[in-house]
Amino acid sequence: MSRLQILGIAKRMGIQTMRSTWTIPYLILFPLFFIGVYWFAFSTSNIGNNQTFNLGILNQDAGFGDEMKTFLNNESIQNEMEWFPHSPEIIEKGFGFEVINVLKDLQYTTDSESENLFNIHNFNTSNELELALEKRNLDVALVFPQNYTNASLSIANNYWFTEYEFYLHELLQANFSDFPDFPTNVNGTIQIIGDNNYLNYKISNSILSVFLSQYHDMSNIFGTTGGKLLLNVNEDFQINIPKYSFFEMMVPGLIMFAIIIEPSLFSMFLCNEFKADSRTFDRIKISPLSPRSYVFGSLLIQIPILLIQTLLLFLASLLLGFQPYGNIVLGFLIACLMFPFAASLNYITAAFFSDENVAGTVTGFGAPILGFMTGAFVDTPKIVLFQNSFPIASGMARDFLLWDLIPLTHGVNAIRQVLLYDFTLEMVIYDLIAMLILSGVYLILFILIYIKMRFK
Amino acid sequence: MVRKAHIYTIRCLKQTFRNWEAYIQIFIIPVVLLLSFAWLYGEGSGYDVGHEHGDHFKVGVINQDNLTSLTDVLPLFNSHIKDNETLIGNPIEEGFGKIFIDNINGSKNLLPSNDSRRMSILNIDNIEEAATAVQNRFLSLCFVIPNNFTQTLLAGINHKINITEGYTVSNSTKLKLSEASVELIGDMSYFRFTEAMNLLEEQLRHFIFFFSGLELESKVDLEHIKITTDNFTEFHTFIPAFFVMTLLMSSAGITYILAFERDRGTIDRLKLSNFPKDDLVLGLTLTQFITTALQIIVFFLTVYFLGFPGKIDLFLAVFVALLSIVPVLAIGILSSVQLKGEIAFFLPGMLSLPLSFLTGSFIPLPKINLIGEIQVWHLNPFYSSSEALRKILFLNYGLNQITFELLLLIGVSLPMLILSALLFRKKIYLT
Repeated sequence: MSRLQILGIAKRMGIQTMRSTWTIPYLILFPLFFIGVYWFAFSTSNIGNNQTFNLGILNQDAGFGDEMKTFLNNESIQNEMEWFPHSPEIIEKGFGFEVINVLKDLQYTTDSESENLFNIHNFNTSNELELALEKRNLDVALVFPQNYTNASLSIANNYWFTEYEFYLHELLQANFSDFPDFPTNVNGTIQIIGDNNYLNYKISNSILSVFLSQYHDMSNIFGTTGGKLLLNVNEDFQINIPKYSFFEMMVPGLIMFAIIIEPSLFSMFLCNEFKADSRTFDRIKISPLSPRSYVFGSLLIQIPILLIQTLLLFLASLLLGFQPYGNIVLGFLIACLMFPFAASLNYITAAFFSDENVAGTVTGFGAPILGFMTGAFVDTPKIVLFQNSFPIASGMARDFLLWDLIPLTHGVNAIRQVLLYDFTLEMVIYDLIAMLILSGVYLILFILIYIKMRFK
Repeated sequence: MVRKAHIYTIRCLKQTFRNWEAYIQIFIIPVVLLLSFAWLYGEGSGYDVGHEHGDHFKVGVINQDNLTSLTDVLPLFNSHIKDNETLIGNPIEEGFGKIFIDNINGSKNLLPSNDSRRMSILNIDNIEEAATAVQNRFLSLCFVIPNNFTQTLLAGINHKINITEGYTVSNSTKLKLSEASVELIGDMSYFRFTEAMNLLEEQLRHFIFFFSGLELESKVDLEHIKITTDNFTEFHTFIPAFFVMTLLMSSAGITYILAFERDRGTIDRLKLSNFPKDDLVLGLTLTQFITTALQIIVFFLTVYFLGFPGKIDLFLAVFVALLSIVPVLAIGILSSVQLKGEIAFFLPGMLSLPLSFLTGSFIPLPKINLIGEIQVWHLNPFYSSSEALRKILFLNYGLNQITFELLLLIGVSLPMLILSALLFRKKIYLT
């Protein structure tokens, strides 16, 4: 193995790579295209970030009976029941109407510029409603039953009885003797309808369920005389976490994924070397060139390609509006450290396939599988190998998962924490060490396989 | 013309299948792809975070519950609390905060159903430590038990006894009206946060109910209705996107044959023999169509044998899938004359993932209307085909209900194919 041989191989491959008409445009355009597609698709998406959901409503609520309406319109009764929602519209249309009004005005924060939680769309038939859900014009739908107002009155009445051992209407009848009885034990079912395969439904269903449970919690209306427990999200803490668009949340994973898939163009060049008709490998084998010189030469030429591509990926992300909270230089260095693993994938592909078409397919299928396994796009299931065994920042230890055997997992974790949450080098050091050790192991192993398959 | 194209197609097919690696590409790789994703996101993968048998959540707690201010009233509750043998531990001695944590970590009694334990709680010292653990996603969330947690629960128990048995355990003013706020620390953009929050809330409600019985019985029930009749996993939801990935991966077939033909000098010989360009285009297109169709059949058979929960109209699904080959042919023809060398084989792999994300199957796309019901995403023919497949697979739609998607698919991809073929005719004997 000599330095001249290594440089010679690197130079030859470099010239060969650059001679291909489309290589340079590809190397420049692909980062822009790759990040650009996700920017186009998700920069305006506000999934999980003050998202406004399209809520369809089928209100079948029959409202109050005529006799009750007459009483509720009585001003002195209204004064007696201040806690009772008694606008003329509610008395005319019932509590279903009231809930819809509350839903319509519901906002994420009390800030006047805050986003609404729901865009309300009213429907007259369940068929129309279902069709809109199927077309995904709606994220979720609510159906109020015909007896919704009566069931709501029943809840209030029963609550009062549980708390004070007499019914609410009895309280009113003390002053207005002919006041009719409120219903008791009336069951009503609100239906929340949606497509369980649709992410927007899953999120909005959860929000609606919490809202409706709290809305029907009578202790919120009447107040409790005993203990009351609240569950609040700490707003002060939320302020410390920067608000990212959905696209920005994806950027660290996309960069790391692109770094392992982009240099795989090089695996096609390697395949081409030992195609039967190119004969390059036959000539290499009979020359004094050692396999190690060949491998080191081919490895060397991949470094500048990767550096340029990584730089372009970062530039493309910044151009398209990604504003990292953390240290971008540290993020860039972490991305560059993914190089040994990216290169190792080229060697393992070229070890087994000589057909560029098939190698392209293997890369095209294999890389996304790796991307999904390592949580580069969506979260991964937790398959625990060793419990509480992998050290993380602040002296704790997390579970070592199956995916931790892949260096990309550690790379994605580290770059996400650095770019999105401003973690320092010390805080991501364990992931970096794991990434480097694993990358080195894979690189050596795959190169050995490559040499064994191609040189012997 | 057709006869020559037919002969050329057979020749190309023979040539394709002479290479053993082509079998891997057509028959093995789609199966491996689907098996991998079924393992990742299918039934029993542990990914179903929204379902009962889903992931295990690690949650942090900062327990500030304080018993010292209650030393005078605590013993009064001893007999009432001792009666409750459902939970482990003695809250009078250790406080309700610690007992809640111990019961989550050590028993199944707080679980809403006969489920396996899905949450474990770790003690965290301070907010800073909690913030770091939440940000690096070690913890799904961290909650703070306030110093008046036990006091509030005692107030509830006191009130409950007052209502049901007509006396108060303690008249201490501390227990008249108490409100405790359990604070949550978490990253709301992380989807495990919401799931963990719901689980924690449910378990907290159970806990409070066991001791104070204060849970209110609501007569307005919530019923969750799915518009699909079966339980689909994430893997099933992603199938239209995997289909698009598979389709695009096959688009380099024409390039492969053409490169082979060029290397052997066949193109020069065809040119000299005045072999009609149309026959060449048709022959290559048919070859690509047949190999991609085989790949599609393998794809759907794998989906079927992996156990699709719904009733699949396999013929309609395959019909839509076959129509979806049209844009693949357009891409294949175009790249075969425009791109040369390794890049032509490499490009489909690069396109497959971004385009599969543009189907909206992985993550919903925002609505951007173009004209009427047509959205900007419909300009991507694979979006139309994946939408049609979604409706067939998950909503049991028939042919007449997916005509909108099919018309858009053909409307966009046919001009693409014609333009590509024209360009191919123009350039094939020049290169």
